[in-house]
Amino acid sequence: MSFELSQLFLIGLGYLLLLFGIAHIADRGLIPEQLIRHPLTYVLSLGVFASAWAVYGVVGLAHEYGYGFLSYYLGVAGTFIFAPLLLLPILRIARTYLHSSLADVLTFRYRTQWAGSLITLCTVLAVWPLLALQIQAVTDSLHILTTISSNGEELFTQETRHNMLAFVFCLAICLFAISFGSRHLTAHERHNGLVAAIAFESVIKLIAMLVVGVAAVYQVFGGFEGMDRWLTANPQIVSLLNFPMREDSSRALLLIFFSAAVVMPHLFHMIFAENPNVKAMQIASWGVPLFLMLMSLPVLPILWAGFKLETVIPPEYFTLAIGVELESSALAILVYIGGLSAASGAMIVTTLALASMCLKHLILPVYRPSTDRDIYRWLLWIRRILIVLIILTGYGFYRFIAGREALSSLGLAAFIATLQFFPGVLAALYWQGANRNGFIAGLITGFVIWFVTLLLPIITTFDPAFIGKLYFNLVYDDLWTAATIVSLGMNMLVFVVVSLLTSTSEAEKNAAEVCATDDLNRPMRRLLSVQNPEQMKDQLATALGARTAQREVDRALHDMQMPDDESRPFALRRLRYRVEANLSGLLGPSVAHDMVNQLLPYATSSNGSSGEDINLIEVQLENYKTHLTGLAVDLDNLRRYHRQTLQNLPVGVCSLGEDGEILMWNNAIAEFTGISTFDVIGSNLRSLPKPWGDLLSDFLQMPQPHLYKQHYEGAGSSYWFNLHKTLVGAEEGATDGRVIVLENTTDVQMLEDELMHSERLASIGRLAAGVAHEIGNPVTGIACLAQNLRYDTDNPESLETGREILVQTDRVSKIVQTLVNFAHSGGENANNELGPVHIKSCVEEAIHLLHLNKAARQVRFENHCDDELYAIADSQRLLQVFVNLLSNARDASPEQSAVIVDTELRNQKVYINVTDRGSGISKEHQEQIFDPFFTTKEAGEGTGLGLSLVYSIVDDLNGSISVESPADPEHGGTRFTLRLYHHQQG
Amino acid sequence: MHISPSLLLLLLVIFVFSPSIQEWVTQGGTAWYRPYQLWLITIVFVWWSIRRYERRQNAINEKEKSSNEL
Repeated sequence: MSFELSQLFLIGLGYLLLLFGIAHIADRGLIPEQLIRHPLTYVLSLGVFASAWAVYGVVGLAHEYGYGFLSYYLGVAGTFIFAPLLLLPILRIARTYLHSSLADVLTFRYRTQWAGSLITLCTVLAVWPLLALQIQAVTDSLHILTTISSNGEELFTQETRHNMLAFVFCLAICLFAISFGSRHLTAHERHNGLVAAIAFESVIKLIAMLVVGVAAVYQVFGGFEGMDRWLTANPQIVSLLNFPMREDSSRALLLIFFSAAVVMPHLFHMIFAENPNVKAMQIASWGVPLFLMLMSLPVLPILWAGFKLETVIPPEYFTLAIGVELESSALAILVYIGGLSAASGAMIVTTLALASMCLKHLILPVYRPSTDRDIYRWLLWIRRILIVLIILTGYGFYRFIAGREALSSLGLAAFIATLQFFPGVLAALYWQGANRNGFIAGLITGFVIWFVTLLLPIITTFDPAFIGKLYFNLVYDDLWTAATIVSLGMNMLVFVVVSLLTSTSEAEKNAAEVCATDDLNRPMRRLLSVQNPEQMKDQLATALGARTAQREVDRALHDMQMPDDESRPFALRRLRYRVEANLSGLLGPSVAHDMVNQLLPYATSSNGSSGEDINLIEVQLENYKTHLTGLAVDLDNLRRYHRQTLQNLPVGVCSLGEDGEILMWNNAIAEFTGISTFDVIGSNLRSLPKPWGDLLSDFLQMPQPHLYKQHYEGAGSSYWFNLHKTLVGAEEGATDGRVIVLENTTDVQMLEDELMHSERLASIGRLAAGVAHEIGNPVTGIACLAQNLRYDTDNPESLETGREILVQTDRVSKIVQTLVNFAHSGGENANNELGPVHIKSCVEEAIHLLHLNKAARQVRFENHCDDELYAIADSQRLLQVFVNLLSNARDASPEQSAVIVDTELRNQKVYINVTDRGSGISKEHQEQIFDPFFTTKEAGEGTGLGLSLVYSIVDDLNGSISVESPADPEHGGTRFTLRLYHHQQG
Repeated sequence: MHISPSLLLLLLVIFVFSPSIQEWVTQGGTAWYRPYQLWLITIVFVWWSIRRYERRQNAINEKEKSSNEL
């Protein structure tokens, strides 16, 4: 069995076109977003780790190291299983600051561009062997399929290679990477096409491996039992599993692949930059180990099948050899596609990640485009050129080493190089004392050792035996283990020593605190020099150009869901963070940080101090709450409880920072002022709407701590309030800010006014009583004289006049007596004993009193009370009740209508009904009419106390009162019914 | 940083039993699949521990939601 090169070329091209198609439809949105963002797709896309090495080289690794080959999978699986140790903290940083590469994270942490640039340079060197490995795997598989036949007539040599096809393959990869990987410039837009294509590739290579595994077991051995028998018959093969594996090699391999997930550029990109959400990472923590387990399951059967078939193909290509030896074209092609798939996936993602790193950390720090050109277009073109350059240099490296190395050596060389970043990553997360000097010195040391020990023998004729002597006379085959341990050990030693010996800058300390997993960021509350987003755009335009600046600020506003005219200092600070994070995704963290610091600086504070940004800390605590445990949960619950207490306090509370920024605005003050908490938090006190801004600011400036009886007209009503203020100090002697307490005293004020009004009325009543008393004596005199007149004359006209005088004086006496009685019906009579009251007379007296007011509306009072009925009450107070009820009825009734008072006796109780034909009382008002200060009359006409007084008097008289409206379904009106105890005469 | 207690337990088990595990695997003879058995158990354990964690989180969120509604 043998294939034509053109056949394989067409198959390969067809597969790559299929990949293009999948990426294209995913990018066009034809594949549902839900599917692309599904955690399963994410897990499959992380299968990018299984490069061509996982299809071919790993069988060679199993041959060389027995069970040690499992370290290749277990290392990365371990990173995912223990994701909270490494992946989740980095994901937190990468998502917050939109970092898409390790260089971004470490530049941010060590606050120096040198860190990023050095990492990028090292990565460029490190990925050459990795890219060469992929190209070599593809060309070797082509070579095997075209030149080796099953009868082994032609021996496999590595001298001839299809370099031209390899070049075409590289060009196709360039095209793919440019089309689907460099479309978006910012880090927070996921490359849907790329993710879909890589996930698809993972499925293909998994299927290829599993099918070959099944073929190896069932076609070569005739099933598991056959394989078992063969293994029993060949104990030397089984012993190969354990024998070559030395413990230090196994540990070194584990460490190398454990770190790979965060230090290899393609893995970092897929894990962090293309991560849809934290939940996906949680699923990946068991999904990726499962995927890798399935990938590794067929490796040993394939190795043994290769031995059994006694193929001439080296163990590295046993996966391919099974199909060749079994003369199964379909199997061979499936493996070829699986290998092509794995190689292209790894190359595409590595190139993309590296191009982005080179742009941000090698080019932009040195050269920035002028502001008059379109920065996005420029960045895109530079990135495309970088993609082509990286792939072509990888191809150049592959041609240069010309198959001198096995796949395992190339793969290990690449992984050990990137392992040198691992101490920097661990220190970023777990050691705040580490500094940039230590990191750079350690990295250079480790990398130089790697370069001399592992890369130099690959690229030159440098004698590896010499290096072997350096490492205690080790043979070259074992050199990588020693190189791993020595380079990493020296790296860490230098890192720690230099970090301890040199000083750390303040900026670096802050960044270290942000990165350290246990610490929440402690942002300071400082004022920005810009006042609004427009000014931000103007400032950024000087470096980015007007169009880019506008786009970036608008994007940040959109991300933060802020209005365009946002001016709260708190919001502007958060906007600044977001702009920096967005620019960091575009230009790299170092350039973005410098640019934002330079163009959007903090205003120099007059007192030189600034408090912590309480609101931002609260937001962070809210986001962090699910991670809190033990005492921290209790503290958080306590914080929430106190916060809620303050928030729901019935007294208005406004807490201010030292700079006048509003930190708290509780519900009561929000309700009183009509300014919502959300709108006001983080803004300056002075910027509050009128009159509150000036009022509260002026109050803060005043020396006195209290301000009483402030008046405020709002929403057509008058309000009164008291203000109090106090200093808040976190520590003794130090003040962090002030608290203003606003007390709503409107009700108290109204009550006070009413009391004053009542007092005035009472004085007038006393005056009236005094006057009445004084009038009483002359009237009695007039009455006596009028009576005497009867005896002094017989003139009928005089007698008639005398009688009239008597009638009129009697009337005057009655009026005076009523006035005196009403004036006496104040609170001092409240304790009078109750006795029988003749209801009809009492009503009559009330009607009489109301008739005195000639200015009032004229209605007809009809007293239909039963003359025989007596109630147990106090006549004066009952009179007051009737006066109130009848005057209300009169006010509500139309002119000349009747107001009827009648009685009935029921169950030993007297029911007294006061019925009018007025407008009636609505249902909702009926519930409130007995409340104090409730009135439906125009302002100034009613006090709202009348019915409340009636209610309390009736209650004192052991009776009850109810209202019914409409009183009559036909005529409407209102009926008040009093129920008092009946007094039985005799 | 929050590491669930079950993960810590897993770390401890791996640390304490690694010599026994290594011996058990290498003494397997033709039972080459032994490492995969352990691997599968670990995956199931991690899956279970994450499910448990998610359920707990959901319960906490539900509780918080209902208390907010109150």
